Amino acid sequence: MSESISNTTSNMVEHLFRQQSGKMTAILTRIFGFQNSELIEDIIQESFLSALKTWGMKGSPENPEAWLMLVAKNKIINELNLKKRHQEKREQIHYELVFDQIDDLFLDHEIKDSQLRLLFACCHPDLKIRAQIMLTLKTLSGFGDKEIANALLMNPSAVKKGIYRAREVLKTKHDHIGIPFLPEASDRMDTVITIIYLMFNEGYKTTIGKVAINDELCYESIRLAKLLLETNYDDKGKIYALLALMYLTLARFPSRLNSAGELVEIEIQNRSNWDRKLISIGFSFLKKSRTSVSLSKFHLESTVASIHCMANSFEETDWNSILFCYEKLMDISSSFMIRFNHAIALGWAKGFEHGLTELKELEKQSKTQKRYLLYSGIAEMNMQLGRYEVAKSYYQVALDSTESTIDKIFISKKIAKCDQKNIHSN
Amino acid sequence: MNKYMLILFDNIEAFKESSPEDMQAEIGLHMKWIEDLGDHYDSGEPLHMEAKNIKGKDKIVSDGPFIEAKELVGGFYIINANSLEEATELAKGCPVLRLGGSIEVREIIKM
Repeated sequence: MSESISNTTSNMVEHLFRQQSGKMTAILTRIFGFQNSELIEDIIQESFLSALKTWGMKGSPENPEAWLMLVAKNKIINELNLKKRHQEKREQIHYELVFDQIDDLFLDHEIKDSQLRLLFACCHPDLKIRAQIMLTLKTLSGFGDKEIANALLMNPSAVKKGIYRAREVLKTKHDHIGIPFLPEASDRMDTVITIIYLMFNEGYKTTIGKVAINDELCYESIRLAKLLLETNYDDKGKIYALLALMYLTLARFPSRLNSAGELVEIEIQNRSNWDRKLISIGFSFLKKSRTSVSLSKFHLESTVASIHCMANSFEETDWNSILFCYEKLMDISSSFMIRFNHAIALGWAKGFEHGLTELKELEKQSKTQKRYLLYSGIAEMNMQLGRYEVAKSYYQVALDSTESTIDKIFISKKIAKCDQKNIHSN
Repeated sequence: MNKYMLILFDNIEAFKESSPEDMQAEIGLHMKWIEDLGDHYDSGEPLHMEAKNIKGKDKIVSDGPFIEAKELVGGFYIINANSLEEATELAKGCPVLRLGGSIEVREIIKM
């Protein structure tokens, strides 16, 4: 067999097609607009098909990325020639202009610019958060419907419908060809940052439900957050804070589950499994985040994450500093999660009676969907106070409030522990 | 050893739902198959989709590929084998089958 084929698989980067798809979609959407999303998908699909046929038989080229881009570019030129002949006058002019600039559009910085335009367009405030995430994953991240469904624990046909509807909305919002650089881009930065953060959280959350750690969403969110650093947004510190939070969270990923795929609480996590490299990157971002004039929730949450990372053991955790961060966070938002975490920090910093009182208050006031978390928290506080019977009863309610197998296993172990402690204390 | 031509009919429909990740994985499968063929592999050529058909003594030209064919000739491989049966067994490993495509195995006549 020929030598050229045996050693060619190696020059294809993992997820290369996914990344290329994101870049191509960004360029193509800039040229043809959301109106032509089918055409855009076809051009990308055909480019990949050409690659599949050629590389599959002949081995991949030396520079696969450039090869794919050239194929896509030729297809775009063909399409532009067609459009120039058959479109309305106004559109003809647009396509003619694009034609003249086509080489520029494939330059690295222009590709980044196109990706940013697309990202901001996908995070349109008229779309629901989930639609924004789905559309971003589909277009910028090159995920397929099935992969999105898998990542967001949804049904593939629901994903397909959701993306279709989101595109219909965007068609009406951008009724001109291409995506302009949005004048309100800076205003929309908050939305974009939030979407990236939520995308990361989805990745973090769904891995729990699926046992196996699937951190693709998390890494994709990081990639998109880094893209934001290329903008001229004036509060880069906030983006760095988000990046710090993501790295410091990701660093502790491996020790979150044990070898049996069960959840491990932070108290007994093996800290030597925390990824020191990710932690140090996280800290360097944290330092850069200090350029911000005002503290965002990302600044505070990344600081909390850094405090956990700094403690050599659970006992050494600086709960007073964490409590301080959550107090500041409560000034920014009164969401359930922040109040819940505040109560937990209060318990560890000032005594479990205080934490318990606050959790009970939260139970009365909040109509949260996260009952499971709330009851586990109350149970934990009771356990710390040596009230094992009460703790057990709360754990039992928590057990009934979750569908997740991995949560159920976690709670069952806790209940067993309560029983054990109870025997010893009697 | 004889030479056999494997004519590949791709199931184009199957790629419609493929994600970029799927497509990339597919290339890996093809490369792996060729690697596994070892000395049985001789050569292969992929074909573009665009086609012209010329028919009869009037040489009537029409645009191809043949319509209604969900399966398009996507390329061919030449492999070495001792018999049509062996060539067929080898062809069974080709990834185009996995996606609902088909393969025609023909022995190349020696001069």
